[in-house]
Amino acid sequence: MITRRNLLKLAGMCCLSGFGVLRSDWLSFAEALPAASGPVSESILVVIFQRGAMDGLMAVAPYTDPVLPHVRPSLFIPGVQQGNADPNKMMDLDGRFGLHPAFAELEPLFHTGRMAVVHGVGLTIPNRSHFDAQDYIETGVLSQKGFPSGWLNRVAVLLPSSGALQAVSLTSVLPRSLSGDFPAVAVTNLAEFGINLPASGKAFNQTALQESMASYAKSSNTILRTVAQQGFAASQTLASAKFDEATNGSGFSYPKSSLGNSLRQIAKIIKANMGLRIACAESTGWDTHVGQGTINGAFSRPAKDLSQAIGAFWQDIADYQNKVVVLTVTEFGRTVRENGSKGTDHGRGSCMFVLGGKVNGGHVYGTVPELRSENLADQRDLPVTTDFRSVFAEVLRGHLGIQQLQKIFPDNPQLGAIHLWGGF
Amino acid sequence: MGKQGKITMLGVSLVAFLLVSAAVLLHPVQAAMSYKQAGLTEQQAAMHLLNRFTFGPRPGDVDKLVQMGLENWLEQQLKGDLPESRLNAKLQHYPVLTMKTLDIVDTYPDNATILAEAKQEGFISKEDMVDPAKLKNKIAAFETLKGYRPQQELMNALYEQKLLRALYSEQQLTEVLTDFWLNHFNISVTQNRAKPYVLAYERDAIRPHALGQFSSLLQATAIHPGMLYYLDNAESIALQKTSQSGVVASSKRGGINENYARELLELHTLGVDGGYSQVDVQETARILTGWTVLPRGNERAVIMANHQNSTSHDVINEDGYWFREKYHDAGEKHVLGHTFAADGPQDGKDLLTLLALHPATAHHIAYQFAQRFDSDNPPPALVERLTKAFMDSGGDTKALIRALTASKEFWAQAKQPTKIKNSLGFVVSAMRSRNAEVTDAKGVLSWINRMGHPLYGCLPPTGYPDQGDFWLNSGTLFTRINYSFALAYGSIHGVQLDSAINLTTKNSTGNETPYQQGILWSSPEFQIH
Repeated sequence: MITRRNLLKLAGMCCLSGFGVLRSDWLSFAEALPAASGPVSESILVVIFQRGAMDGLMAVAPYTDPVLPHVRPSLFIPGVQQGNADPNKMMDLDGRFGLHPAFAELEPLFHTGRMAVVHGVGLTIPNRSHFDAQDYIETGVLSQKGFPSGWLNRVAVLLPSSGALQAVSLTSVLPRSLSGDFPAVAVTNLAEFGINLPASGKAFNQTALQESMASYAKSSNTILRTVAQQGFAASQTLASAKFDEATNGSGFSYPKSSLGNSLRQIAKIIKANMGLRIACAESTGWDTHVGQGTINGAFSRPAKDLSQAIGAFWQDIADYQNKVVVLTVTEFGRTVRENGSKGTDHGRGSCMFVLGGKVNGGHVYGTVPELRSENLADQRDLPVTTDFRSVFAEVLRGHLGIQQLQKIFPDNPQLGAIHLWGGF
Repeated sequence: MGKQGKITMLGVSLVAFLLVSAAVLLHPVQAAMSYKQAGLTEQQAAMHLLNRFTFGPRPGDVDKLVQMGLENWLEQQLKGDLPESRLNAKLQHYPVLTMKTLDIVDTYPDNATILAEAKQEGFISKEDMVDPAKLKNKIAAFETLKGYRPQQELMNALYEQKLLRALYSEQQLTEVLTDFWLNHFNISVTQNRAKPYVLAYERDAIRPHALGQFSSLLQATAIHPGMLYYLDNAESIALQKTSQSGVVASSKRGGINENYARELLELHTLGVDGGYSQVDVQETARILTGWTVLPRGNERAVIMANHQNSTSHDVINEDGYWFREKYHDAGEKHVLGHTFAADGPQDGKDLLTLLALHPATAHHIAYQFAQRFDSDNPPPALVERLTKAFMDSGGDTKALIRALTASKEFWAQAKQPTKIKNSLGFVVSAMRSRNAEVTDAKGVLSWINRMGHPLYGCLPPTGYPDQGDFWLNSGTLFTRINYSFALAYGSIHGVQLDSAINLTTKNSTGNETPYQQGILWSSPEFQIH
């Protein structure tokens, strides 16, 4: 198991052999470690899927690249903030990359070392279809289209059982990533998650529950039977939960959006200690073909929403920050050049945010070449230099303590080392 | 082709007509329904037809079908010319439903447009802007002056007519297929510029062709402002008349937007594995450059006036489609090995004709059709037969329906149906089973929204997946159960059940209690059709 603690021990070993060992191949090196004692208890992974394909080059822009203002005349945001003085400029991260000013709540998380960026991430096979690309990423399998289960569902299978709310998606539809054998739950509103007859029939609530449970348990339709089983179990767990003033999140400035609502409720479940290990939420509006804008515009709207929602969530779960990792992922990036409508079309590489109490934050990981057309994929897109599964794999190892990566990624992909966890 | 104005698609229509005629001559036999071979009674078969091709049987419907003959019922539905007195009586309260597209757009601008216009015309001053109360009054006055109506009124009419048609239309098959094709050629109210066009889009580009030729649907959706805005083709402008790609787009002149071009190939026609490349997408986008939308209001009036006296080859139709010659790439283009060189909108129309009749399209549509009307994972043999029916008929939806009802797979579903109703289908089928009378649709619509799949609200261009695990999960199951009891107990505003009807056979007393009715609707059996 790779934890910060173990890595500190490792660091001693490495002094003898030099850092070259660790830098060469993190995963195979990690596999040589003594067997882990099991998953890290109570660690929680929150995955936010940014549907529509976030423009990674606007989110975390290589603002010093001389090509960028040239190919993005109406999208380029010049200059960087000095000491947070100017909200109309990019927020410098490391002298080369700048964070879009809409991500105001994320910037301090980066600079305090809690949040990392991985850039040039995506699918290692060319695909610019929203649907297909989301499917590949959510299954984690590229060798087979429409793989039956999602990567997070397979992760949930490997974790020790922690009850009916072990894997929950705060969305109206269970995402592909959580679909599969493990009974994961989809819910948009915890308050409405259960049987509630209208006032004149209230007396029959319990009877209706018993009768429904019995009839669904007998259904020959697999979807109905399993969905009902999950739903009834989860609603009973929720009914027993102790929600109080401390768990309702009212003191935090969540945006009044679908994502804000989802993260507020995830925080609520976390704080009620009901065995949550994997949670999903969705952020939409990233398909910025038209009027992508700079400080304002089509990009800034979902960006502000994402930033405010994560910012509020992180404060809300202050006592749990060391147990929680928030991971963002999107299906692909967008064209390096702006298109004819001051927007961008479907591209390849984008970037991901990894936030956690123990993450090696404060760095932009990955490889982003200078944006000259000869460096680009098909001479138009940011090339994918990091397989998205490399990031997933480090989160699984570093945060959830999962070693059996071949069960999560049956393709056995060649995964490079990023070093998001560990004592560097 | 809907309303055409100056566009003439005579050539395309002629080709389609010839193909259909040939198909009819070659395949004059009307395949019989094969339910008897499947061991079904007429009642069982009638129930299955009603389950799959209507929004649910009403009391007495099964007997009616058996009496008139199942084939006759289907032919009547395919013909689609039944009187609609009950529905029309409901719809007459919505005058917007029959307004011309451009009148709708002019009458229902969004708030941002109204504000911008009021400012531009000097109706609102800078001082007004800092005084919210005053601003509100001024805007109201401006709306009255201009004859504008709140956009929400248009949206309410859109949602409510959908529910009313599903409940009360006698052409149930037309409504079911309108729902299917709208989902296939998805546009949604989540996109602000497409929003005011959604009503006209379904009315003019989808419903008239729901039981017709696929090519007609494709051509009609391709030139509809709703689609041109939703997938951004309205913004796609040729970089240079004959340039190689790679020219930096000048922000003043615009450039290519390949959003619609990609979804046209991936979602509307060939399918994601239909054998096209990224270059095909880019070339398709070049072909469709200049296919845009007339602006609203005064700006449009100026363009129309100039157009009358112009020597340009621009084409304008009465729904607001605008082929803008100066933005069109007239150079040679290559898609799927075919060369497109024509100037004007003809190269685009030719491409759509090619795509509409392509074998990959036939397979893609056959699969989607089978998934909707047969099962989530349709048997490959059925998909093959439907593909052939599509090809042989030149893309005729009626041929797909006949091939489906002639198949053993379709009737096998009747014995043990696996298809989970979609949200609209579930909500409406419960209401229809008790002849519900709706005086205000808003209460029911809020329940549909709570199921997580709002009408006309699918943001991604894929449409809602036609699969059970999409429509039903633990959260929506509770909403379905709670809706069932709310409806049964009469606690949904604006809905009255016909209390004289007792549909259930479970209860020997013959006197249904709301509780028992709620249990029936919320049961696993009622989630399936």
